[in-house]
Amino acid sequence: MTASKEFGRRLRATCAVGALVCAALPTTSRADDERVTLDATAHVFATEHIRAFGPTDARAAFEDDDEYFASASVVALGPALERLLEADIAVAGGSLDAGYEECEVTGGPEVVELARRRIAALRDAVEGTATLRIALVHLPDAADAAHARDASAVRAAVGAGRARVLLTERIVAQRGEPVALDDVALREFVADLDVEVAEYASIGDPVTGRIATGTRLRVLQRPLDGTRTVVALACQLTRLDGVRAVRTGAGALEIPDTTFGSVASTFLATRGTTSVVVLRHPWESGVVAVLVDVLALPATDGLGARLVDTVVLCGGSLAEPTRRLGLHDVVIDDAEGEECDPFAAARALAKSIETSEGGIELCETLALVTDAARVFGEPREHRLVRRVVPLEASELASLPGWDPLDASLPAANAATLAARASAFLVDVPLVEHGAFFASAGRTTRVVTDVDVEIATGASLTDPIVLDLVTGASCAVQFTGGAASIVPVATWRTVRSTAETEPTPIAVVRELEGKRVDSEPDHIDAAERRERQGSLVLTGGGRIDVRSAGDAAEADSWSFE
Amino acid sequence: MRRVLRSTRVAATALLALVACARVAAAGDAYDPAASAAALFWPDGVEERAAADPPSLATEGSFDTDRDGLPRAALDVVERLSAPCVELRARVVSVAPGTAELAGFLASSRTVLTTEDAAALRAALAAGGAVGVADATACGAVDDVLRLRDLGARNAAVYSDVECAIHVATTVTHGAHLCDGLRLQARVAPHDDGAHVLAYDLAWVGVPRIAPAMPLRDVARDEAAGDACAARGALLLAPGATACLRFRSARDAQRGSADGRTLLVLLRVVARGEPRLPLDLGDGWVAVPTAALEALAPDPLPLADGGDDDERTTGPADALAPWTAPFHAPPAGWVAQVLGDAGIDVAEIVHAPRGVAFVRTRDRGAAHAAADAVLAAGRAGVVCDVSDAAGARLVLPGLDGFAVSGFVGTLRTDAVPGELNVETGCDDSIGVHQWVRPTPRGMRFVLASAPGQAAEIDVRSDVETRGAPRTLRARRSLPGHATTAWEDLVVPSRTLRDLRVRSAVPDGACELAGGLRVRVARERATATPAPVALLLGGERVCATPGRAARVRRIVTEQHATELEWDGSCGVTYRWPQVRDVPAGLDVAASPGPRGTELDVAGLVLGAPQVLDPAFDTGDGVCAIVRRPQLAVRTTLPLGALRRIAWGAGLELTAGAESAVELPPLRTLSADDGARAAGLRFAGAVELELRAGDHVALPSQVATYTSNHESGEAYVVMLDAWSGVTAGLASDGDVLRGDVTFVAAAAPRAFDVTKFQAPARPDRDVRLLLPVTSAHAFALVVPPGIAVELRALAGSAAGVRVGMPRIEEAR
Repeated sequence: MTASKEFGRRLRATCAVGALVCAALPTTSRADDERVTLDATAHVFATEHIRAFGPTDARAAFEDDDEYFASASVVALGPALERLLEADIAVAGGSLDAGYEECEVTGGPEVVELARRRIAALRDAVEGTATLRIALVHLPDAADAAHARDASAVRAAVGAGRARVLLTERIVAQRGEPVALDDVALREFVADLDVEVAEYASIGDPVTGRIATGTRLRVLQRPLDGTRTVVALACQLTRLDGVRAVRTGAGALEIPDTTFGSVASTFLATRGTTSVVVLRHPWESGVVAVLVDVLALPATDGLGARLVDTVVLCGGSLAEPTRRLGLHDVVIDDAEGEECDPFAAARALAKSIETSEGGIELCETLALVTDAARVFGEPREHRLVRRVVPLEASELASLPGWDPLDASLPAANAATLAARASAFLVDVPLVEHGAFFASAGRTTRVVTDVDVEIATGASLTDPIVLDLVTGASCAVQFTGGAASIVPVATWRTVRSTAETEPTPIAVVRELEGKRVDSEPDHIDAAERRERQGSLVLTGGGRIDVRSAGDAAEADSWSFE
Repeated sequence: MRRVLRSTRVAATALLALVACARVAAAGDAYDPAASAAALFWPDGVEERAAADPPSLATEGSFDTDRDGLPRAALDVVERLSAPCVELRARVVSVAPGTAELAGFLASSRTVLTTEDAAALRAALAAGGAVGVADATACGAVDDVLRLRDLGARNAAVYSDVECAIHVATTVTHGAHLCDGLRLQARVAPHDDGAHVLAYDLAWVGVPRIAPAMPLRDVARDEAAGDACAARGALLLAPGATACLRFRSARDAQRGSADGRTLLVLLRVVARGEPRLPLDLGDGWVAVPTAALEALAPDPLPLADGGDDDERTTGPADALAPWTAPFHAPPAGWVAQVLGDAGIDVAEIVHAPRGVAFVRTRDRGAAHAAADAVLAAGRAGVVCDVSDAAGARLVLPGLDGFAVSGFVGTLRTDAVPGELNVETGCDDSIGVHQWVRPTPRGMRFVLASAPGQAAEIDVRSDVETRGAPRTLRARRSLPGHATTAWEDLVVPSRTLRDLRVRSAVPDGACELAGGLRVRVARERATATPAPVALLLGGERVCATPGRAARVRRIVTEQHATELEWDGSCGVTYRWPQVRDVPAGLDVAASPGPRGTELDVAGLVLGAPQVLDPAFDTGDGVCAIVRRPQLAVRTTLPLGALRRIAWGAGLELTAGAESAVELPPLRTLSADDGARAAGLRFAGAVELELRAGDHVALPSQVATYTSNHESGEAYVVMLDAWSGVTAGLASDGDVLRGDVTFVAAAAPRAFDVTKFQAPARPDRDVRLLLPVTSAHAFALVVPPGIAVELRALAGSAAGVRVGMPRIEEAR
């Protein structure tokens, strides 16, 4: 906020000089002046909501496809044009009367042409699209996996036939609008029973669900300048392990079991280079590399001011991909997840720029400023690598510096343990203030309880079915103020078991004063173990050791 | 006479006794440390959400002060403290009984591991005597809430519910999630020299044991029990030090013995380059940490705040008010008090978020002296070591001036007998269900100490004794049926022994009521006023001037004292409700601020007398329970040893046994023939008392009409009271006051014919109507005269009020 104050002070000074220049210029009108009304609107997509695709939502993800294609919305450029053009038009001997969605220009042909050019440039900048080429590549060999962050090595492996391309696409995306790429199979299953009862009649009405398995990708970009864009990318691979039939008092259910792995990261992509996101393949050997090439970005010159995406400039607001793409739902029932507006800070910044008298707010998270890069600083990019090394309890004791009273190892052991890791879990680029999220595991469904529906002479039990996820998830967030920016990793592991022999439960039914037999009901004796915490990621790696009973594992983080 | 006695005082006393009685019955606490563990055990409730949002360290709006007056460096301090800079690591270790390596440590009260302790613990871990059962790490900025979880959850079919409709009733056993493991929330604030103050709030529950429970009406369910503990407090941790909280449950759910495993919760804070405080900010400003000292203050003891004599609202009566009260100490006031006590002239104090106070004094030297004074006030550590006669023990670290609280025991998914419930539908569809809740059984305490004051402790220790299941008779009434259909309901029984003690704790170890042992070890000696030793109802406690000591010793049994009903069209069901009936005493005493008088309030609940056989009203069978009680409130002169005894077993001894007993006191007595209430006094005296019986009788008929054919009349229990209330006062010779007595009820049976719906035969119900007489008198009794008051009707009940002369008393 201090920086924005400084910026406002500079803008005020600039405007004051401009005003003095304008006051000194002659304002005579000529006979051949014309009065032209120009369209001052731009059109952008305004997709406010996109379906999540965690395991919970996977089966419903395709039910509302039209949400991907929300109608374009109109951005009024008029208020911005007034400040952007007023001084130049005056210098050229014309005048400007900017409304909200149109502007009236009075002056000679050169004045009108100047206005047309500026409006077109601004419209291009607002509506402009970026072209990205995305490729998902599976590298099954350990040797190739070790070099998966090197795009040329990945391409060489593909060329040599050692890697398989899972998905490749060339996409064109507007600023801030997510693009979905999916290669999935859809399957219906009986997910629940909707119990209905009436007089002397009852039924368990099967409710079908839909599960999508395969590869899914979401990409969202926000141009920083003419050569760089901030890309938020999310990728998920899901496999259907099988569908089991389960009997309940109200009828038969189907329980799908899946294995999944997902990753999301926000990074800085530069035109002419390839960014690579790497995650371990959730069920096969090796890794999956996601290659992102920036082929084209919208031009932002010719405006006389710089177009700034305030989302990019706001620390923390780049948590957007995990929120808008729904990846925070991968591990279910995170009770502490907070609903908040990820763009609030960006909007506030855009508004503060607008009110600083020199800046111009456009559409909520877009602003025109003179020297944003110098005022707000360049985003820095890091690379985040996470490995997990399984350990025997006896091995722990032999590691130097191991303190059984502590939950961590000295960083000196990082190299020792990293060398033992066969492969990393994730290896991703991550821009400062960007968001990282990864999750992997298995999903199933369990009957945790039963309700009863009842009417005259009829009753039926209603099974309550919930998702059960076993896996681990982790997220990285940057926190801190102007003095320091510190990456913090929050992690969560969930270990679940559902016993193969469910527990029968008592159901006593009396009809007209007499006991009647009911269909057997049960609840799954599911157990879940959940551990949750966070740690500061310091350069050079950090080792956190988690033990569960006799087994232990060292979680190694490397933040470069 | 200090106050003019008003008749309203009598009513107030009666109300006090009733409220206290109701409170005993409800056994509800304003703050219960066990709630945290209970919420963990069964996290579906609202308790968890409340526990998940602990109060903020920073005072709301405390940064509203004009920040322009602060130097730029102050804002930098807050900025730096906002970055993640601390990590909290927690590990829970379970130690088997008899682990030789740790015998020395476990025998001590140490809450910070020494090098030797750590070595012994490593050896025990290597040998298998100690096992790590949970661990987690969290990081954040100063003042952030750090959350650690290592939780397990499993399903169990623990409660039943019923749905009814026409012709059909279905009862089903439900599953619920039972949790185990560790949940820790903490805030960390920097202190000086790299030390940290850690405010903690943790709950731990062992893996619950699930076993089949007594089926109710053929519906089987599971019952779960797990060891549990909970603790809140704040502690000071030096760099690299490991704090240790200790728990041992005497009510081990797994083994049912008192030699269960001891749990060690190890806590360590790792700093990551946060600025050390205090920081010299220039112009006489220094930054000093205060957040730690405002940390998560669990509810300390309510403090008497004096006030006008006639209108005072505190004292022993308030000792019978909610067991604990919210903490309202303003941090700014605390800082100002500390600095003022240190003789430092402070020009300005600005509180910031992130646990920092910016203090400006006249010069730099004074500024640093101010910082040192604040830091010194928060440097004294306190170790609280509480154990009970059964063997439960908690050892918690704390900071002088701030409360610690804890719970150790078990959580059970009890089917509480009183919560039996019935659902009826039409045409003979009736279901019975029983709610189940996690009920803590064990010892819980709150210990608070103000700087320069003796520590005070509230302890509650309850033990459950389960008896054989009992059979209750319920009746169902159906249209067209000539006779009443009776059904036997079998419900569990229990007896709950509840001992609560509030006492000042002299530095060092002391033994309190009921075998409770408390050891308070301070790092720094404090000049505390000598507490007055008291023997309340035979239990040893201490009290400091202006604060109350209290003993509450209650045994709760269950009796079917109320009839409940449920009806739908064409069918009614009437069943006895089991209610808690307490017996015991609840007495509090508080030395006055001048140390010359002792305010006393007490309530004695006699053992319930159950009339046999139970009374059949015609639509239900209920127990008629007579519950005697005595409530008294007075002020005594205090100087040396005093022994005071009232009737009904309420006794008070004040002063050390070695002290010289003052000359015998005169005795003022008021009795209703059966129960005497006496008070010995020297001069001016006041006495408010209420002595008598409560009996709930089936004395009234109410009606219920459904939208169909089931017009019903049913019997309602009414509470009848008999005994004496007195508000008496003497300024030395003449005794004045008001006396009211109600003769004991002589219930008379009365039959009522129920004219019912056409489809059902008329029937009779029986009532018990109390017959009493009440009399009120205003008295002026000269010395040496005893006044006997008796009902005009010649009833045996009466009141005798008298005050002997001094010479007679000698």
